[in-house]
Amino acid sequence: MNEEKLNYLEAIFLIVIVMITHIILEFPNVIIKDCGTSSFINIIFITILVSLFFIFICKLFSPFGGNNILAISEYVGGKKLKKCTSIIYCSYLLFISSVVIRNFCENLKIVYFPNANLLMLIGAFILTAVIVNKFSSGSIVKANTLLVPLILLTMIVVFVFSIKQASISRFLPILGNGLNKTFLKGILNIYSFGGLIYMYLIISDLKNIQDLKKVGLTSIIFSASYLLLSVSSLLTLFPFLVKGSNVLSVYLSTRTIRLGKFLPRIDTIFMFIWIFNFLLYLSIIIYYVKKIATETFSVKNKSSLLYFTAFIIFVASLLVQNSLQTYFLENTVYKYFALLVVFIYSPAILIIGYVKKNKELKKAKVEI
Amino acid sequence: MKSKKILIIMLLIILILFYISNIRSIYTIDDMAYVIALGLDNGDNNNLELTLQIALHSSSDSKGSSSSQSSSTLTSTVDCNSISEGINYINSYIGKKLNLSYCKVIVISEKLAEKGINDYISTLINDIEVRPYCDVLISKCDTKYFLQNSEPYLEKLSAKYYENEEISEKITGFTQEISLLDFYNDYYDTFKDPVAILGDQNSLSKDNDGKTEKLGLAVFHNGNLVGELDYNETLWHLMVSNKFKNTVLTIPSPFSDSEYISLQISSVKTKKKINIINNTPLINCDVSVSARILSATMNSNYMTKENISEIEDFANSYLKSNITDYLYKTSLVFGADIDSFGSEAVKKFATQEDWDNYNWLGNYSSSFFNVDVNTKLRSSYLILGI
Amino acid sequence: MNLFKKFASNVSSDNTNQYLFELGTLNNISDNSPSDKLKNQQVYSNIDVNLEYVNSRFNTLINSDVIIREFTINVKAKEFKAFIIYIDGMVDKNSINDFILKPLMLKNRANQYTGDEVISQAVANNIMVRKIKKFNVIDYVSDNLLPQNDVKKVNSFDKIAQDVSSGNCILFIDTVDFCFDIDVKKFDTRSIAEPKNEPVIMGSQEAFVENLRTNTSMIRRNLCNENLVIESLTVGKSDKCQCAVCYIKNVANSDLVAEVKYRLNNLDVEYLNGIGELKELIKDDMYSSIPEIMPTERLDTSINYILQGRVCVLYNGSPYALIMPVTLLDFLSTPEDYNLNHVFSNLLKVIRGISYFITLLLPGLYIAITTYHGELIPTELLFSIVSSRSTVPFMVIVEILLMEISFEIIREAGLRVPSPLGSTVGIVGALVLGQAAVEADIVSPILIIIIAITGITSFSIPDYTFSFHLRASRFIYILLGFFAGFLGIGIGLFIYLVNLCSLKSFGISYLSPYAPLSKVNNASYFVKPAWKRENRDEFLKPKEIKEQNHISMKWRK
Repeated sequence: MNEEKLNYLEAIFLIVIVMITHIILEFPNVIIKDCGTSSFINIIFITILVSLFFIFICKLFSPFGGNNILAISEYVGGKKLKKCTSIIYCSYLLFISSVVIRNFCENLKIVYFPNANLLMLIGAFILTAVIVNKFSSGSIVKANTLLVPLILLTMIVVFVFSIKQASISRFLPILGNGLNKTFLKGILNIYSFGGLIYMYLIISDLKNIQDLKKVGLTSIIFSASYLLLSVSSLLTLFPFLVKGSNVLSVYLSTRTIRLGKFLPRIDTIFMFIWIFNFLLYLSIIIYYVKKIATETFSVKNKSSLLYFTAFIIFVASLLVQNSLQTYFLENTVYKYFALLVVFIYSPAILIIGYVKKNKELKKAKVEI
Repeated sequence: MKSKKILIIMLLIILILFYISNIRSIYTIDDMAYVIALGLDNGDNNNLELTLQIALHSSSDSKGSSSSQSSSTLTSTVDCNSISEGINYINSYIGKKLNLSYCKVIVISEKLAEKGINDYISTLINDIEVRPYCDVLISKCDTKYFLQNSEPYLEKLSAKYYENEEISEKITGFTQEISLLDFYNDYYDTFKDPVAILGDQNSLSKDNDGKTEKLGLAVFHNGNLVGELDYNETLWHLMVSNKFKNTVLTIPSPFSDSEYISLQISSVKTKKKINIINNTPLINCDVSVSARILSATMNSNYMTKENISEIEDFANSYLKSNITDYLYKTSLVFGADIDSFGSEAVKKFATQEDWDNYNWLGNYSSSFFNVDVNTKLRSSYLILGI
Repeated sequence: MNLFKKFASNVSSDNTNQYLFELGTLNNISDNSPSDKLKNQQVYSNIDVNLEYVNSRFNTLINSDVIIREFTINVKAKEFKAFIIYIDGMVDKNSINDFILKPLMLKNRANQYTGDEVISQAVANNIMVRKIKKFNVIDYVSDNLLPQNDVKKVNSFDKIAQDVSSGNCILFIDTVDFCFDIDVKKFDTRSIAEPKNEPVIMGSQEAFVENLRTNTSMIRRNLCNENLVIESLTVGKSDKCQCAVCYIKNVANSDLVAEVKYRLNNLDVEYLNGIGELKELIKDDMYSSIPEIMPTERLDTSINYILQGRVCVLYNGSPYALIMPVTLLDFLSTPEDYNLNHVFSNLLKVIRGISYFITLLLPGLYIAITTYHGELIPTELLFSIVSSRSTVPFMVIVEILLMEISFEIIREAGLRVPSPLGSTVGIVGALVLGQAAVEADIVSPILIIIIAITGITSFSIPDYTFSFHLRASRFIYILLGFFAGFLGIGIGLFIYLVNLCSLKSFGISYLSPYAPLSKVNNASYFVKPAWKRENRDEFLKPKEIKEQNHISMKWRK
């Protein structure tokens, strides 16, 4: 059905939403804590690296037509490898969604409802994502296309208002915590582009396969510019972050916005808009887990799969005991998981598949 | 469709359960008492004395059209060990839940500030309710006295009085608006030391009405109060740190000993250059001032080429000596870099480690200053001179 | 004592004078509807049989307005028995007298002519050969004796029944197994008037009426295009009401037209209560309260949409037309938008967009802010609200629900009240209830303002059905705001948005052109200047997309 195919803008927004979610939560803080005042340089550096990496991935995808990573893994290692890839992808998505939703709900508790029951909060989010997945499949993507520009706009509003109190000297000393942390250890910060996992999956859904490169590079540039803006605004506003304090990063910036004497605490409104962000994020993850599982395991009853996925996310998000564990999971475990899945495992499969395909094509040419 | 209906009903049930589980801790706007100012002082037995100024709203009169805003306030004081404990104590007898979202100013007494206030500032900035841009004020008199006498001259509403202080600051330049976030940032900032607004009984007015004023700044170093700037020194501080907005400066007239010339200074830009020689900072300031003449005397004609240059030269030397005295006061007496020279000095260092090792704020007390002032007199207002 | 006894006996005795009536069960009721054998019955050759059949089918013995006139007709100097059947009050009696009964009954040259009808003649070898038309009563009567413009031959009693009910006159002739269906309709209808429910300032002031033919004639008159097609369909088994489907053949997408006709033809209902019920039966989503078909009483709106490539359905007996397919943005447009300068139109569109959100969300946001998020309110406004609420005994939710329900009651009462009292109700409702409620400290003044603003903005939504949907959804947001503050409202809005994205109206996405994103050059919420309206909306997939030349003002050089 042509309707279910993603056009260029829809695909970009699908990837950008993942990035924005993590920017709101913790990425800028982590990067500032690691690199200090050289975070700016570090981000430009990792953006260049990721763009080059992505161009390389596009080249690897080129001989396969419109096949996504699951089909390619089947081609490389048969059904076993396909199942293995699906399980890795599903567990990655489920893990990160449960950590993200737990983190956001904890912060929502702090900001909105100090004495609320966390169980109900998380349950409400997950149930909404399940309900939304019951509608027709294109509707989540359409809602995403409508809401992401609004969310991006709010982020720009935050940055614009923080310019007033910014001071450029807070970018100094220029090398921050040193060359090692900026450029060598700093390479690990490419995990911030973990949203690229969707690139491996959506290629089969694109209306126009040639758009993949354009989509990928545009979304990388979008994500990088937002990361850059958020890091810059935080660095210039809060010098204490360099010493490292783990809080809801962009929310701190919103607390400093003053619209004259009129609106006292405008951060509440930003939190309201971010609720949409997290609902979208969760819905998209559940949608993709459902899709991957259906494709791999030929599941007939999609509803049960949906409920099962939601249940796993719910239980996983409740296993965490306190904020410290959440931050550890998000900043350390997720970091290495993302690096493994997005930047090591998937490219490895693609490389093997590419080599295999080229050999076959050469053989076919020789035979002719 | 049926499953969608069931799921939506389940969601509604969850939200209802959410409400029920939360019901005891929901405080609507009717259930809350709004604090508009918070005061901290030394209590008995080295405890903390917490004073809260709470807004009282008059219940609506017959037609509901009377002014129902914060026309009067209630001041409540308790002895406690921490701010949160104090708020808890006051909650027990006030009848409503205290809400700090509308707190406009945090007043800390001088005696408490000398012991160090970063714990209180950290507690307050960690509080979700307290707005990061409420003012921080150090009071020379008792906090309780300050809060009780902070009545506006021209306003009926105490909350608005605190907000309107900004206007005075913008016009006179005798103090600076320092918010909680500014103070907290400056405390952790390696480029500068924090300052806070200085408050006291009204000393400029001859009416002896006992009301309070905000004049000058309190200087901190390593979290403790180390000194004060009076209202003139505040002007030099604002000029040097590029935060100057507006003031009227009166200098003795170079033409006559008994006369004074008032200059309306609207813009001051300072360029700072720092050299570090043998670990000692040498600070050069180039101050550019743009002014207009406000006062006029009958026989004066300020707007001739010679007179202008004479007034400018006199203003330059006046400002230079005052600013230099001020800068040496900050370095020798206070040892606190409140003008953010560190943000210039950091350009000499490549990594955070080098900068931390140099310890700018510690080395500031041995600085040397070189001040150059360049005043440009643009014109006067209506009468150019006869 | 006697009086007391009488009183006691009155109180204790059953009142045997009470009128008792109960509906019988199905077995007891005589079924007067024609049995299946009688359906699809063809016309008989024998006139007496036809007469008997018609008497039973139309219940002429009890129906006072069904008239049967028996007479003898003269054809070629021969006499045949005949009768006409019609309904008194629905026909033009003069037409029947002058153009049916007179030419057939009275002896005149046409019906007394006994000669042959010559088709052709030729002379060969001094012998004239003539081709003569064989005498046929039906042909002779229809060709020569019925000077009436709309005459059809029918032989099905179902069709006869339908046409008699709609005002035609049927002529039966002995020995002929056909009858003539003659259109002599004349009945009183409402004349074309201003649209009462969709007023505009700058635009046409013609609205549809109940009569289908008048409506179609209005469309024809205003849309002078030979490609305009008005197809007739019947809906409903019992009342067999006529429906007209209007579209432009070389613009409207054929699949769309076929789908509309398919849905209309496949409705297995006895009768329809009006066009609203028809709308509910043919719309895509059965359960959604969001309207997916637009009813309009304005002629210019319908014509505008037909020209864009949409389909318009008219229903006999209803002064509304249905437009399909429609998107959400169409419900926030008025026909005035294209008549005004685009700057003013866009300003009005912005206002309507804001009204949409205010109508839906304002009470919910008020309750969420006052219950959970009081810190959003500016200081002085907060103190003002708190002091005005200090004497109100109810919780905010109770206040809001009380006032919302009162407002809805006033609105409903205002619709139903007889017109002399109409303005009084408005005054009573607004002044007395609102003002008195504030003075009695039942509600706070700020709440009255919120409710009033919400009510007024709901009137700025151009479409009646759409504003209904917003009014109903408002209560859900009030509850969500009360239970979970901004979280509840956010969840509600999110599900609402995804629901909107999933809706389709006859194959096009409800949020076109924004989701999915089609070429925004062609379509957007905002109105383009008149000289830039080059293309039709792409999401309608019309056959002809160009509406205007790139340079439409050729007089400008």
